[in-house]
Amino acid sequence: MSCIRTQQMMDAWLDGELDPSTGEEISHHVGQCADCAALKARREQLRATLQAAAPRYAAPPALRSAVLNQLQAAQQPPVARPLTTSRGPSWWQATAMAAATSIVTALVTWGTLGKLSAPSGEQVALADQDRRPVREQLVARHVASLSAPSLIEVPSSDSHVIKPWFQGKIDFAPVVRDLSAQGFTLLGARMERVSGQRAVAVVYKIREHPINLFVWPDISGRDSGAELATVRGFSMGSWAAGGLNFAAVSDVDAHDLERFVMALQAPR
Amino acid sequence: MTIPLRLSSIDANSVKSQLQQPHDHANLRRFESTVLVHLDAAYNLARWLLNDPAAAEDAVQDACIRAFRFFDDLSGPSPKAWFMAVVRNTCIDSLRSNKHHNAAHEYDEEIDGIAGAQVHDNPEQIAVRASDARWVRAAIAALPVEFREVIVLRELEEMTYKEISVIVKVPIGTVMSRLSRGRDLLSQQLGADVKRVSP
Repeated sequence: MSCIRTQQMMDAWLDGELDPSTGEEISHHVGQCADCAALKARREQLRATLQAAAPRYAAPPALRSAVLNQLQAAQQPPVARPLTTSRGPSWWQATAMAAATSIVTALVTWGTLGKLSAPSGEQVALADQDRRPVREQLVARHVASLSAPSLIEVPSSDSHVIKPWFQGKIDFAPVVRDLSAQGFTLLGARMERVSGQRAVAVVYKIREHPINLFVWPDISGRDSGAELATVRGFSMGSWAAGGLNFAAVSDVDAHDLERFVMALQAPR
Repeated sequence: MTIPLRLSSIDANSVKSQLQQPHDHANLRRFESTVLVHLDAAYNLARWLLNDPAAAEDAVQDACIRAFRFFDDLSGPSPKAWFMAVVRNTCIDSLRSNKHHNAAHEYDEEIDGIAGAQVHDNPEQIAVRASDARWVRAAIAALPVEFREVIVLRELEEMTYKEISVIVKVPIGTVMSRLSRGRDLLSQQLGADVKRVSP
């Protein structure tokens, strides 16, 4: 066994990939050759170094559930589904619905988001110049916002900077929450319009995916549970609370958006 | 709860999807137990190849979806090797599309393949610096990707040459020579740093 041959096969030998007889030949040569013995020592040293200092990174716990969710979602057609287990309307919701026929027209703007089962024929009542359904508008605004520099007008990760920035610009107080503990980084905010109404967009980010949270006054003034949908491939979660409409739009998968919506709605 | 189906009102596709569901769920469970058990290995490889935790997560998610789609084609020496090949492909695609692919250094088997034995550093000196894990990580990260992947697969995932040859799609002889060369480069890097630091 020559030195060149030994050195060529040294790694395969140390990795246990050689047949025993070749291994014995190499072992014999290494026992007699200082250069080859030095190579063996360097290899053993390197292995010890790597085992001691090179980490084997473990998958983050959220990754496994994200993968499973995505695979399950991939098996089912993407349809709008309620975030919480579906319940019938509560008694006061039912009462309100029965009494609300006179203001259905006013509700239609929000109804096109799919939360209300308003007959489709009434959707023509949209008085705004923008007659597209609200969902379509929101996706269009989301896409447009991604082209810099319009995404953020007030860049800040501090809700106490963003909230005062709204003062004097709008006649409502949007919720701006720090969700960094849940993995959503607050990037800032900008002014928006939804169906001709003044609105704001609060911008978050998870990994490299921006999330636009649109907030605008709710005409109906009724709270409604969050609903997730997929619109032209974008994930959207929409709900109403405290006289405001909320709609989160992003290209993250539905699972991450659901987490985002839940985090925003969680009691403080 | 069973829902009586009124077949007349349901189109062929939705019937098909209803019928496929039990199969799909069994399939997903099988995928979990044969493929997703290697999620740590997948993430580790992606993390080392892309040098970026967020990009690694995205790549592993993509790879899982690809792997699930082609689950019926599972073949090769082990499910782990098959899955790792998908992960590795996804990472290489990601590197190319992001133009991070700085391995302009084309590996030449004839010129670079012979294990160089020119490094004569004192193992004790190496051991001192090796205690700094950041330094070791940086040395691995600095390797051209074709050496880094075989080092990670062998040293951290302890995969066989045959498995590595399937994952990287090169002959076993090439796996052997890349491992040798990769280890030489690492030893040199570690040794050179020791020389620079020590008087």
